[in-house]
Formats: sequence, C-alpha cells, structure tokens
Amino acid sequence: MRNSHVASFLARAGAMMTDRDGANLAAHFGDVGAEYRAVREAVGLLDASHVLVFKGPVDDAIYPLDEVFAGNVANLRYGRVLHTLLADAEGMIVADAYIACGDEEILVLCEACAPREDVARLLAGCPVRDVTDETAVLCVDGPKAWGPLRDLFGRDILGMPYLSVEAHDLDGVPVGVLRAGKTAEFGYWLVVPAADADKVHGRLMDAGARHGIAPYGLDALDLLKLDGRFFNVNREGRAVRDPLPLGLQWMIDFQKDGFSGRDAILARREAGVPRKIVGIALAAGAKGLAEGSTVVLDGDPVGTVVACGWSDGLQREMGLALLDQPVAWSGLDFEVRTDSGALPARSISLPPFVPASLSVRLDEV
Amino acid sequence: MHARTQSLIETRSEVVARIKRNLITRLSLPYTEDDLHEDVSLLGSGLGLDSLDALEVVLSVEQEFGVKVGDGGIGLLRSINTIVDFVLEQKAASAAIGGGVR
Repeated sequence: MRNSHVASFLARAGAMMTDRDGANLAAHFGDVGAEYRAVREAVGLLDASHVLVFKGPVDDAIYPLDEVFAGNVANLRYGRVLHTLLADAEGMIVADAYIACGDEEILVLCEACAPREDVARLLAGCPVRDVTDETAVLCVDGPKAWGPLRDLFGRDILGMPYLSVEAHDLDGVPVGVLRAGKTAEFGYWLVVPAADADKVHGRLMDAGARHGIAPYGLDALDLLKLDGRFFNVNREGRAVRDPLPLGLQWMIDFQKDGFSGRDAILARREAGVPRKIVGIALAAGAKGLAEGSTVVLDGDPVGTVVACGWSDGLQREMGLALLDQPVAWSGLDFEVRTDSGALPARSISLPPFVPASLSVRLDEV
Repeated sequence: MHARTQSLIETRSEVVARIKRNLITRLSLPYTEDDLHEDVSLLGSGLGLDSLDALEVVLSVEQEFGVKVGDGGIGLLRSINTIVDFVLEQKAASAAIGGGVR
C-alpha cells in the first residue's frame, strides 16, 4: 500500500482515509456534501494518489502506446491530451486514461479497476516507465478552478483549451498542468514530483483561499462523477467492465488496426449490445437505492443498479442502471426492488443539470 | 410492457434517431447510431464538439424539428438526451396550442 504524497496535510485536515487501487488517501474530510458543493460552486482540491503514472519519450512511446490504448494515440499532437481507455485481451476495461503529449515526454495517467501489475503488464511493450511512486497528481476542480491556477501560473493559463497540457514552474518545481477533469466542472490536473507535492498542495490551498477552495476526497469525487455523468472506472466500470454498454464508444477509435482487446470489442459491437447504462432517480424523499438492486418495468425485471448515491444537485438519490436495450430510455417509470422494499424511480437524462462552469467565460474573468 | 410505456419509447426513440442521424451526417462523426449513447457528453469530454460544431448542432435541431433553441442552447447541448428532452417539451407545448413542431 502506498501512502498519499500529501499524507501530512491529510492528517492535519482530519481526513478519513480509505484504500483505492493500492493507495491510501482521503475518502472525505467529515462532510461529503460540503466537499461536493465546494466543487460545484467554487473550487475543490483532490489528492489523486490512486492515479497510476507512466512516462516515456514521445518519439519512442507514441506508436507503441497507440497499439495498446483504444483511442488514437498516434494522432495526438504536441500539447494535447487524449481521454481513452485501456482494455485487456477480452476487451474488458482495465483503466480510464489520460495520455498527455508534452514537449519531449508523453504522460499516461490511469485510473484503474485492475491491479497496478495488470496495467504494467499491458504496457510492457511500450517504452514508458512507471513513475507512480515518485509522482503526485493533484486535481483542481470547480467553476472557480481557474482562480488559483491563474494566481500561481499567470493569466495565460486561462487560454488552455480543454484536453491540453503545458509545462509550468512553481518556485523551481516542475509542474505539468493538464486542462482536464472528471467532475463536469472546470478542471486542472497538476502532475508534480512527489517530493514537492506538499509544497505545491500548500500553495494551491493558499492561492485558492480567496476563491473558496476546499479539499475534497474520493467519496465526493464519486458523487461528482455520478451526477456529472463522468465515467467512474471504480464504480460502474468495475461492475460492468465492457465499454460498449457503458456508452464509452467515444473513447475508442474503431478505425484503428490494432489495440488491446480490439477483436473482442468489435465482435460484441457487431453482435449488438444487449444492455445499456441509463441514469435513474428516485422520487424526492425516497431512500434506499442500492447497488445490485433489481430494476423492474411494468412488472418485469429489466436490469440492475450498478452505481448509486445522493445527488446534491438533484436533491435526491440517483444511480446508474444497466438495462435491457429495448427499455434503456430516459423518461420511463420503473420500480427498484431493494432489501427494504420497492422504490419508484424514473430514468433520467444525464447530466441532469447545467454545470455552473458552462456559464463561466474565461476570457472575462 | 404497458401501452403507455411502449408509446413513450416509440416517441423518444424516433426523436433520438433523427438527432443521431443529423449529428453523424453534419459533423461527419466516425460512429454508427448504435455507437452514440444518448447520455454521451457533446461538449468537452465525450464527442468533444467545439463552438462551431455546437452551432451546427443547434441549427440542425432547429431545422429538423422546427423549433427555436434560443440563447440557452449551450445548456441543452450537454448530451443527446438533453436535446431530446427539449424537443419533446417543445412538441408537447406546440401540440397544446395546435402548433407546428415536427
């Protein structure tokens, strides 16, 4: 088990710790709802020590990586980031990945639902090195995420397009800044040497104070992904594994000649996907949605709940259900059978609200 | 399946198919209709449409369904499903006053 690279801060902040993907990091800081709202309304800072980091020279690594990852890595231009997935030979998801093409080095940042060794095995033929233990990933998310970044790195950072990467320096510390995120709000991932993680984390907290920054943990991240409709490899990814029913076709380049799991994925695509993931929400005030619950339509079982939680944005419990394709539509009334009884639910369109970041004009801040 | 459920599915699936066909054709997307999940994000992550693409989507929805998207368009473009919700709401409102949403 590896420790968080900002463990001393987490201890001082009273974080409740949890294990994820071989890392010990913050589940929450005592009030998950407040952490969620900090990200939806202002800015939150996450220690993402669970992210696996690989690094290699661009010229040597880009084509071998293209033969492994499902997206088109070969077409990745300098300064850009690709959001894609890594699958095993059976075409089942192993990791949700950002691949960032820097000046000389290419960075691979994986949130995995398989052991670190499995990811490393799939990347064994690529000239990349596992630098997870010596690298920290800090995520700054929210409609005011631009605030601390601008104050620390200058106004030019506001011009970064979504899914881009830049190299910066903070008092001599090299900081890779990715304009990315998985909360449906503005987001930046900062990649820094582990030895300097506490320092950079402290500078972000100080700079973010006037923008309302708050640390947030994995519990809030899971809820932000859920109602922000961002794929969560640790929830629905782990439960379903197959990228097609999860609606992740956009992460896959079907024109490519080869990538890990390609034949299996193409065969399933050709055969047709029998089930599909759909958002569901309970009626206001209803409680008890649980993963594994059976979803029933007009008396017939039609699916299973694969992820769920309280949505502060919706002010009700919501989840993702894997439903039979013919009934996998938004706007239908279902019943969810749980251990505590049957709950009325409705399938909903995702994301169910307009994220605050969509109305922020970065050229005007 | 109850008749009401069947009717809701038929109404929605018809609008979804028209929107997907338009997206694929007008934006030259390298996907089939089945590849496009109705909740896939259109902006940013997901299909990653830029502002010109977004304008094209708004125009295609307006032309296809005879509706006016208006200034709140950016919020509608969160996903295919959120566009469908808007079109179905416009259809319902139009039907109530004998209007011409297609």
